[in-house]
Amino acid sequence: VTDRTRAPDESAVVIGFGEPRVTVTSDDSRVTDALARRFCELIATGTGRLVGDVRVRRAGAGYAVSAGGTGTTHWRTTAQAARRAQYLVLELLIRARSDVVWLHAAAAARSGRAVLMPGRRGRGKSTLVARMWENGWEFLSDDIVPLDPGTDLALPFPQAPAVREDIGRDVPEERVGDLSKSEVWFGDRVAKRPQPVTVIVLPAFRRRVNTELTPVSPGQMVLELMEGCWNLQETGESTVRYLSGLVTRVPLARLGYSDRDQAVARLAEWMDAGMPPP
Amino acid sequence: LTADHSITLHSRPARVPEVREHLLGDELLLHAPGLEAAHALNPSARAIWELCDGRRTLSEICDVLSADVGRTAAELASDVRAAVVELARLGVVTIA
Repeated sequence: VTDRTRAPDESAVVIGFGEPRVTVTSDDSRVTDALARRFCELIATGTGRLVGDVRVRRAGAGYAVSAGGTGTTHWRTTAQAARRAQYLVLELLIRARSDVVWLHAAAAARSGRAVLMPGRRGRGKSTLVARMWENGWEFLSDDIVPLDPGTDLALPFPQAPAVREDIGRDVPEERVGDLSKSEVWFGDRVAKRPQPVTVIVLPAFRRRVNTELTPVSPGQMVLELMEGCWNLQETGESTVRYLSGLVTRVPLARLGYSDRDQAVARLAEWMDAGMPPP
Repeated sequence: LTADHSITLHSRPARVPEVREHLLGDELLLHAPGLEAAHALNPSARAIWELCDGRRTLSEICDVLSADVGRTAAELASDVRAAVVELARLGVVTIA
């Protein structure tokens, strides 16, 4: 996947989302390999519009990471440098596609109907979407979902999900980032086409709770979506209007769970029943 | 004036004109361009918000609401005042 033709000591990977392309180059192929794994289904082939170039260079005992007009930041480990490069790639793609609403959310589809799962980190989005995929759902995204405001379609943005390891107890939100993650390889059952958002579910992973769908008001949900909207500042009122409309068009629920299989089964059962108010 | 103690039954709360409203069924989303936060009002808070026109006093707002909810204006006063204090704290109403 990694293009090693750029220079003898340099590897590159090109990540695309539709037309826009971002190139990541590094003098350490472990960085570009990490990016290629994370963006596996978004590796670009063919022509496109180059919107940015992220550069990761060895510097002293660590790495220097930069992109176009942004300043250079320094990172100690390969993983940290790769994460920073990933963030810059996302920023560049988001800026290049201001026609869509970018949400911090996971999404998966079943029978042509997508479930959008917004929420802050540590709520169990990636864990749930990974198990949905194992149960035959199509994978759209584990972390960032681009929504087309003209059609309510969720566009596939399939980064390889990184699932936090279960340490056997609940963790306060401010410590969730400390947990290590392991990537899940999804193979080929990734949604190739946009899927209509037909339900929005807030996952709420807690240890030792029953699997339960409970109501969420449109007000609560739209605030969640706005909080997790990557390009709200840039798109402003039109996005607020769109999200306000979306939460009144589709059923909403909170899914409390500790057992992933039960959670996926409950969700499927609810959708099959026509999504009556929980 | 937005301090809690400054809001009395004679105060006249007014919606800030720049605040945009988005209907969410029975609820209402308030969003002010340039402000970081948005706020969702439940149906009760929404009813109070809609009466904050800068002309009615808090006391008159209680009178209007009492006819709708079947409680006396005196019984509503504390809750209505608390809601207006909160709306003022959020920066979506001003008090005259």
